[in-house]
Amino acid sequence: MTVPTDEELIAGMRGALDDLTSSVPVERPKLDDRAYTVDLLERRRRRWPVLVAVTAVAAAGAVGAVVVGGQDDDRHPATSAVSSPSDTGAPASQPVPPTTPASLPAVVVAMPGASQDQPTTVTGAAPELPPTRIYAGDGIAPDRVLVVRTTDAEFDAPSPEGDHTMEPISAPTGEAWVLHPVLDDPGHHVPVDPALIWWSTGNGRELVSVAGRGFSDADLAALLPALTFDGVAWAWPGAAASAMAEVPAQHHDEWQQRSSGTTLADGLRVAIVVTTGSRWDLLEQSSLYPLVTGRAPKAVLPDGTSAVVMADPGSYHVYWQQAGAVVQLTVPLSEDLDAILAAVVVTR
Amino acid sequence: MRTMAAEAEPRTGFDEFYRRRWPDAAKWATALTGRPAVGQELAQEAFISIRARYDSLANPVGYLRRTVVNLSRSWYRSSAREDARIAAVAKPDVVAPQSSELLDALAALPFRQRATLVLRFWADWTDEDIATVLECRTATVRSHARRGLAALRQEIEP
Repeated sequence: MTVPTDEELIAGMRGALDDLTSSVPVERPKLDDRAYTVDLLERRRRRWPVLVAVTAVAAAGAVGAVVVGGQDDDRHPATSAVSSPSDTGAPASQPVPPTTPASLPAVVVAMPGASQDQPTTVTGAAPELPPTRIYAGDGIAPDRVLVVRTTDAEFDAPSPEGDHTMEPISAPTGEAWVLHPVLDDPGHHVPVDPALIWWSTGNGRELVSVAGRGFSDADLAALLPALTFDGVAWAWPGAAASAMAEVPAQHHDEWQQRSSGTTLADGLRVAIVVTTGSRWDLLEQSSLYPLVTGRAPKAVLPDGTSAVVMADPGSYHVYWQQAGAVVQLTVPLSEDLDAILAAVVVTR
Repeated sequence: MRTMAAEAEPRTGFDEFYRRRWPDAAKWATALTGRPAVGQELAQEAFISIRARYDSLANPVGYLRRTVVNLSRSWYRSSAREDARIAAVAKPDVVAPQSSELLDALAALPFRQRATLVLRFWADWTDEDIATVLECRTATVRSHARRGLAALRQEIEP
C-alpha cells in the first residue's frame, strides 16, 4: 500500500467532509423551538459495534448549559485547591486593569537595498484561561526569569518533531515532559537550553508550561510539585526565598499582532512581529531563548529604547517594549546585528 | 490579506443574518464535531448567543466563527472523555478500511489539529482567521496543519 501524499489526504478529507455535511438542511430551524436530537453512530474499527447516543437536547440553552458547565468545571487544574497566595509566602500579584490594544507601532529596518514586506495583522480576543504568572528580577533582561503559563491544549500532547527533544518527567498530577530545542546542523543534533516543561495536569483542560531562564532542568522539574494554583493564577513559594519578585501578567481585552519583514540586500530576511503587550509580555516572550554568550544582553535602539538580545542556534531575537506593544526582531546570526539595530525605524 | 475584522459585511437585521449564515455555521460545526445532529445543535446555540448581542457586535461573522469553534471545542472535550470511557470496555480491532476511515482518523486528532485541517483545507479559512479563533499565532496554525496531516496519515496506515 502506498503512502498517501498530502494532496491525496486533503482531497479525501474534503470529499468525506462534503459527504458528512451534505445532510445539513439549508433552511434554518426556529431558534426558540428546538427538538430532541440524537445521533446513533456505529463506532468503526471495533469488533462489536458500540452505539453511542450523542446528544439529547430538549430546549434552547441546554447545550450551552452542558457545554459551558463542563467548561467551568474543568477550568482549574487539580492543584487549584492547594493554597491561596497568602499561604505560599510569595508576594500577591497586583490586579492590573484591563487594557485595549492601542494602534500598534510600525517597525521597519531601513537599510540600503532592503525591501519591506506587506504587513499582516491579526486581532484576537482575550484568553479565557488563567494568566501567565512571571517571576523575574529587575530590569528587562534579568538573569533569572520564571514564567508559568496556562494554555488551552488539553488533548494536544506534545510530540517530538525533530526540532526539539522531549523527555517525560514525574508530575504531581497527569503527565509532564521537559523539552529542549535542538541544534540540528549537519553532523550535530544537540539539545540546547533553556528547557521548557509542559505539564498536562490531567483534568482535561489545561497544559501548563513552565519556562525558566537561569533555571536548570533539575530546577524546573523540582519546582513542579511546588507550584500552586489559587483559582486565578499560579504561585511559587520559592519565589520569595530566591529573592525573585512576582510580577502580574497584564490582562488584555483583546490583542493585535502585526507580522512583517524586511528582506536585506543579501537576500536574507529580518522578521518583525509586533504584538500588544507590556513589559511582562516582553519578559515572557524573551524567556524562551537564552542570552547570547559573549554578548551584552541589552542593546539600545536609535531612539534610546532598551532592547533584550537573545539567540537560538540560527537567529538573534531582539525584543523591546514600546507604545503598548512588544516588538520582536528575528535576525539571522550571520548578519551584523548592530548595523541592523541602528537602522530600525519605529513610527506610531 | 483577509482578516476577521475586514470581513464585516453590510449590516442586516439578525433574522437576515441568521438566514444567510445558518448553512455555513451548521456545516462548520458538523465538520468540526463529525456529527450532523450535534453540529446543528451547536450552530443553533451559536445563533442564540449572537442574537442576544447582535446589535452591539462590530463583526457578527467573526463572532459566529469564534462561537462555533468554541462550542465545538467544548463539545469535543466532553465527547473525548466519553469516548475514553467507552474505549476502556470495548477492545479495538482492525477492520477493512471504509469510506469514512478518514473521518475516523480526523476524529482521533487533538482538537486544534482537527480544527486546523477542517477549517484550512475544507472550509478554506485563512491561516489568520484560524489563528484568531484558536487564539494562536499563524505559525502555530501551520504547525498544526503539518502535524495534523502527519497524524492523519499515521492513523490510516495499516
